[in-house]
Amino acid sequence: MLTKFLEPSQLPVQLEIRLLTVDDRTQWDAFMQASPTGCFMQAWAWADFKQLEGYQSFRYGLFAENILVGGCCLYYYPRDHAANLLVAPGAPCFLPGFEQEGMRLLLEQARQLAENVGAIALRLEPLWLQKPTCLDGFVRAPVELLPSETLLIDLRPTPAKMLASMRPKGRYNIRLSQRHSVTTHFTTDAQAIPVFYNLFWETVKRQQFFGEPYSFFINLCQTLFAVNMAEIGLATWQNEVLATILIVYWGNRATYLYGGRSNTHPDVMASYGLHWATMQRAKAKGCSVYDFYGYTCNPDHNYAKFSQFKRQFGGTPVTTIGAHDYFFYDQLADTLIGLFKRLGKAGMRDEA
Amino acid sequence: MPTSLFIEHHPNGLAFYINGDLQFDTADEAIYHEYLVIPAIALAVQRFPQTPLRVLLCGGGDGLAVRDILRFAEVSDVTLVDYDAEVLALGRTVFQPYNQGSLLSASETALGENRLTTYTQEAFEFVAGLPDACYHAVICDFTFPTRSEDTQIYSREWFQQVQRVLCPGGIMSTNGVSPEQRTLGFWCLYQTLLAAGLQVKPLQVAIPSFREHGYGDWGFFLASALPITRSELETLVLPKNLSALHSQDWLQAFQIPATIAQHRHTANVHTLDCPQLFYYLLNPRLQLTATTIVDSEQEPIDFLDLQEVGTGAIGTRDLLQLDSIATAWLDHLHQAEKLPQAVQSVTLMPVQHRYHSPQMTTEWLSYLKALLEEININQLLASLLERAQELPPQLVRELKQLTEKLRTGQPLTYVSEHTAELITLLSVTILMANVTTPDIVFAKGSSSSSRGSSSYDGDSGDDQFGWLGFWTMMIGGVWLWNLYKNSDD
Repeated sequence: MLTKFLEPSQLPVQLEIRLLTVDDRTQWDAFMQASPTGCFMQAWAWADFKQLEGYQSFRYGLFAENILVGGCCLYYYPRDHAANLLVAPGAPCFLPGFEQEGMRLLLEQARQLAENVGAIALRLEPLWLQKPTCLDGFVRAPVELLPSETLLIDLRPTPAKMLASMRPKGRYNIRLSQRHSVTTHFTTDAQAIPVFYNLFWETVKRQQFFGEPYSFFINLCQTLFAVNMAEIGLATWQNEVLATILIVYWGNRATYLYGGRSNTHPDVMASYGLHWATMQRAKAKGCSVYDFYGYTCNPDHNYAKFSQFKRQFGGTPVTTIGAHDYFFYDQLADTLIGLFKRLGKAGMRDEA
Repeated sequence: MPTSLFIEHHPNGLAFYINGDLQFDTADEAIYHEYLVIPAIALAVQRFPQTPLRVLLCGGGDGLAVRDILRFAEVSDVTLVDYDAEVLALGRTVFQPYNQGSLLSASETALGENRLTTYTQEAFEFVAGLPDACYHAVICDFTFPTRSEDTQIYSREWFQQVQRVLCPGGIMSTNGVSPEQRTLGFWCLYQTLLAAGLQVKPLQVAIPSFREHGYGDWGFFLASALPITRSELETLVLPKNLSALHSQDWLQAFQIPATIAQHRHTANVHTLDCPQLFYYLLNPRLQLTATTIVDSEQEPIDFLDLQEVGTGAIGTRDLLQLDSIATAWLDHLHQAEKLPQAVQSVTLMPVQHRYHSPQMTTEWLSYLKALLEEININQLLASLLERAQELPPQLVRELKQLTEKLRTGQPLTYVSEHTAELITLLSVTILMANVTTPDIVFAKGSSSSSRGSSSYDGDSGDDQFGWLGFWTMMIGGVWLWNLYKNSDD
């Protein structure tokens, strides 16, 4: 059990980091789900999904006295050149006290892996609120692997208290959707994927966002549905699906990963009704946090419009440290020297 | 890489997806399969009268193409080779109502008649092991390539193997790509077939479900080592009860709009040694705008009246590879020193993955400054100088001077050609590293500004990078700024 983990005060203990096998799956998922900073992108099933997408995944577990005390799943998209990255969204996770040594061991593994597969840097994005000293040597990446700003709703209060803590417009629109008899339905039936995708893509076009293609959602849904890690929610009014949501359950957190809504009948507030129903459903499933997955207080940000919608539900904005890069300079130099050699630049031809 | 299969049921049938790409919709799959199969087999029947025909089907584990091959009583043997056992299993079960039980044995269905032999194997490997001249017709029903590796079965070497196993005068029919949406990819296949020594007739067909998915009109190729003539095709005897292919108008499929046909001489040949096809599929518009000379009013080109010889060049480099992109950058660098010119951004960083669009890749060019700022130049110089014996002596001398200037805080007044090349290679490497990982291009949220959030428009506006702006930013501004930033640390 996780409660039997070693306390940092018990250090020094022998720490070991190793690649996990399928036999470690249950322990790994339990650890990541129990971790306050555990992320669904570190789930065993998520790595399976990424493998369907063409990635290779390397799940490293940190063990103290054979007890899992931390870990990180590294993802790598294989190409036959070394201009590549290792990435770890929502990781690493360590039990308190194991960060420093755990990070050192993980970096050793990542360096070796980078050399073997061909990568110039490690990009990771733990869900930490402050950059700890174990990330010395990492630099802030210009883009994220996850939205580093998000909005969290506390699901623990009663529905009445949750409604009371919302903005009046949010509360009003939820009730409006109820008055219009908008119904909601949640499913892990893969036949809902095209229904979801049609509304998602309609929204992508309307909002002019980069949207993932259909194949992405087929792979994602089929993989996560099989382990009850995700659901599609649908809001229907007069037999027409007006809004949809793809929700991921992981540990105590339900994450609103993707959604979409029809441009028709905005007056019935189907999206409000759907989010409210999803929150209640997540709570019934034992979740205590509803993560809106992406939020900004900046009115000029591309997320501003979405954030304005999300803000109506109340909640607390949270900002994590964002993505950080660690460059393997020997690997980078090796790639550059290789290019110089192969391209036979003037200096090489004339002087080498 | 594992494949993902998905069946979407609808009230009147189903749609089948492999890796998210529509393979068929039962509402109109007959159009695809009849145009792929019927002309080839009918022509084989005509060319080999009174002969029991042997037909090889590569791919097509869903059983739909087999159904149409077995329409011909003249066909005595069909060999089906498909690497995907799951698709074959679906062909025997879920798809059975649509393929009329074509994959079942004679005891299970009248259609099978024991004329079919099935192999679960890679087609290339299977065909390479066949003797010469053992089939009268070969039908290729492959999925749309999603990775560069998938394009081997569209290579010149593949088509040469197919030609080898065909009897003299035998017929090949292959599924292509959309001439409308993947114009250069389509003509790359055309030139590749010609380079394999085949005479080729391209076809363009409208399939509603493909159009609904944004795939555009679909393309096929009918080919043979012997020329295929108009008179042959006009006198083909087609089976009765076809759903989509009608004797009165099917020959119109050989008419390709002039705006598309005009590009047929600009595509390279796709070979195993130097793959080209995937680059064309990912970057379909890259070379089209510059070469468009025909207006849309012009009459279509009727390929029934053309017997062309191959004009496609063998590529000299795989344009998706790091080395090729780096070479393009260096070429621009050296040209720009002599003749300033605008650079089409997508030539600097072509699309690398099927999930990406040119707009996405273009947007990444605007991150170059931020990406270079991440680099600790002292550490990079140290790592490079550790391997000084592998670098040009002049570059080593310059890097040592640079290191010393950084150490002492001296101003940097000149960037030599070698150093500029190094910066260029560094820029390409870092950019490639970021666009190679598919998810990163979707880059949700941005640390430094709001612009990184995924937007169709990006910051770039048009996709032209003026010489001055681009190179000044890259070499002058970024590099010097970066050096002094780090030297202050």
